[in-house]
Amino acid sequence: MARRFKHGALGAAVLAAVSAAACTGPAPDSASGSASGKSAINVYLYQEPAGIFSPLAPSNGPDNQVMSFLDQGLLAVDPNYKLQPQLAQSYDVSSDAKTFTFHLRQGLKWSDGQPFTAQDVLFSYRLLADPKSTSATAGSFAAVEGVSDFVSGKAKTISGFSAPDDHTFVIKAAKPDIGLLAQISVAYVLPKHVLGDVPVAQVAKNPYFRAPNVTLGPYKFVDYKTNQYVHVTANPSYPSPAKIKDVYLKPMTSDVATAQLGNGGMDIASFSPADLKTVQGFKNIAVQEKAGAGFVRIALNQSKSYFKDVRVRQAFLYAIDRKALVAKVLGGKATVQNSDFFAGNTPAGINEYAYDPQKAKSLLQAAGWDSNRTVELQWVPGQRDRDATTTIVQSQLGAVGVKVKLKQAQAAEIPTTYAKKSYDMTLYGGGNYAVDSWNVNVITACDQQFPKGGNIVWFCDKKLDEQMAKANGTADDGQRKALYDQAVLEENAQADLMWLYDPTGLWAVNKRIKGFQAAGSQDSPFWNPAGWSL
Amino acid sequence: MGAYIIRRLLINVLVFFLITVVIFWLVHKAPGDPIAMMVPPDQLNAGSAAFIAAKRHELGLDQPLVVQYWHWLTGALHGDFGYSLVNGRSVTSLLGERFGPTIELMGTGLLLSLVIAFPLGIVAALRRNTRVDYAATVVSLGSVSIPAFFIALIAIYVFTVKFPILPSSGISDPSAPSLVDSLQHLILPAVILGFANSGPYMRYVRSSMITELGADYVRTAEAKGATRRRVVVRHTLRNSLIPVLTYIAANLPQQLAGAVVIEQVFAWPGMGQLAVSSVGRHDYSVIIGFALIIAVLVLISSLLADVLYTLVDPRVRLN
Repeated sequence: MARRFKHGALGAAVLAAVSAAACTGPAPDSASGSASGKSAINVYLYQEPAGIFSPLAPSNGPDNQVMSFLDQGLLAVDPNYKLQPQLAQSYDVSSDAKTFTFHLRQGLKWSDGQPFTAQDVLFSYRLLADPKSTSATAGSFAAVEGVSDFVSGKAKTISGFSAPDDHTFVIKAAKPDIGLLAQISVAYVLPKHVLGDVPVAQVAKNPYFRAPNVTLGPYKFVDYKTNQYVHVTANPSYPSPAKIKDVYLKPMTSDVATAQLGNGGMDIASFSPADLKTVQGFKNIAVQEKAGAGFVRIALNQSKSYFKDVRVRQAFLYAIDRKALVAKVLGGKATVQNSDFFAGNTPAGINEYAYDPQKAKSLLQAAGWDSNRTVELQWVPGQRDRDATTTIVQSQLGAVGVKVKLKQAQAAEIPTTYAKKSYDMTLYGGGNYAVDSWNVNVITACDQQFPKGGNIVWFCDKKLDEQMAKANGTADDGQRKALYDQAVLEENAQADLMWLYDPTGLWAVNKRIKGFQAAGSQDSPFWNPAGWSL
Repeated sequence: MGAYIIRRLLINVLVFFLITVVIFWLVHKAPGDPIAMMVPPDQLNAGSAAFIAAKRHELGLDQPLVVQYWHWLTGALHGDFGYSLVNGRSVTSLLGERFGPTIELMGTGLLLSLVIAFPLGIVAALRRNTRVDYAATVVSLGSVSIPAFFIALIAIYVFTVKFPILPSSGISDPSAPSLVDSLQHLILPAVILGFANSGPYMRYVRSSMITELGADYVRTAEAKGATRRRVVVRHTLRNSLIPVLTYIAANLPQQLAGAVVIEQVFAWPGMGQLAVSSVGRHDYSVIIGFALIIAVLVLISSLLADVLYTLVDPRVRLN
């Protein structure tokens, strides 16, 4: 309790100090040991990296951000959540939505001068799909033809991956599966000439991943001083070498990073809506906003009988004034979420569940909600917007006759409550599933119920599953969009999750830097650092 | 005294062993699953359970707690305190590389707190109930009652935003490291840590001096014609050091706790930062390593306090 208080007080106090700074105007330059004036910049990391810069390791925000300077995939997701060719010059999708052919860029070299070929891709994809490598994403590759036989030992190699020549790589799906493209083609490619001889079971532990000094991206790894910075430097082998020579990625508290923006000690940093006025007060800083990369939601445990009734779930949505919540708690820097699907991918006419406590009451009454029942809402405290949201949800649900008890939990405690199916409600953040609507399937499908997948609410709607599968198996873009639109309407009506809001990505950039494109979240990878200049 | 120290050390070894049992048990029994939390809920898929099971097996977390403790203990006796769950690095190297920065900050902070506390405490005692005494009291009250992190934030505002003359975070500038640069980085955190710890020391010095100044031997010395200066410097100062030194030695663990907060604010790459992030991630081995360092520090500082006592006060005999 004391520690929590300290953190809260710390945030408030820094804010006060920094706000005062904004009122008096920023300092023109810095004596703070910054990289200003030189061909080097400082970039904020919202967390200390784990220090394993590996596509085999579980996804970790700050490590991914470092890797976005060093590594490349066949395709990459741009700041508008569209797939863009990266190592591939172009790609084709077969008319049966089963075969993806990537035509690789020619003349690419690893940072040690070795040529990049399709063999590197083949090696990387085999490794990523093989659970023996302790690849955290191996499950995503299960839909590739031949992976299940390979994993069970029936086949010696994976038939769904092939490299017919040095500049072509082919992925075959076990069944029509457009969504597979977004799930696996963005994986970072590893150097076969460095790791190819290491036994599969040992690769993940290879020292290479602590200091990945042979890479394909615009920057090369220099060193990682724990708790201080990750230093990367321009890779001369990159086709259009980066214009900024050195980049230091520094983990620190967001309050200190915000203060450093003003004095030039920090050049690029994400920040929270609460600091917007302060940051706008810095004359040397430009602010960029981007549609959020993931939305905050409340999971309602539908393995419990009282959340099985769709009317209860709808009533919970009607009971919360989410528009006011976004305006008050996030200063308007978020959008209200009304579906699992990305707002840009949803059709007109979905139910917005506008604030209507009377409707909520009558739905609860119709569903026979027991007003003496108390449900527990668990969340990991520490983020201002989420902490405030829980108390608003508690009070507004209370107003329609639902008693809510708040329970603060540690991040490590939450998975246990999934395993035991013991929780009532969990507030948490997840992705926006924007790149491909198929990504929603992992949190809604009957066959993805925890622990088989990410459906931690044990929601099941066979109709939705059929609509999703049909859409995902359709190669034609227009037809697929029409099918997904039906799925969105069904999912929106079923209210599988209590959608809250999608916080806008806010980034502060020193005006001396050109070409930076903000991402939707503080933990999103950086886009095209080679295009940044001073 | 040699026999006493040896006996105390042997008892400390036993106590340390019991501490390892308790810490190991408590840390592992804390609610939560550090391996399952590695995969975010909406990234779970058919392969996740296998990945989590493989990871648990690789780290030995699928074995009974007693077996895990035995492995840890046999490793620890050989200097191997296990590996971080998060990044696989050895606890010895993780804590080792942060030990230096923490000692640098703690040591400088301690030195500065003594530099502030001794003159102020002595002057306050000699000029009791005068303006000087009241001013010193205000300073020490401020040091005790204003949280260090708050002073740190004000200092960041004043010295890095308003008048940008000092760096606000880190231990050095990676693009241009130098001794001067390192010292500049040390100034703010060390001065604030020193100030925050100086209050209690000053109060101790003051009250201890006042007690000694009222002692019979002072009157005797003055009656024999010794000057006030000689009495203070030769007699009362030395005697008043006894409780102060004990307090400082026994207070070393608190010094470390204070440094943890300052390290957070100034992004100082010390053990405190590592401890805080490890607790959040349930990184068992690192938490245990950190807790054991604190335990050793407590055991050693209490022994040190007893030994110092005998050095400054020959009347005290340890048995």
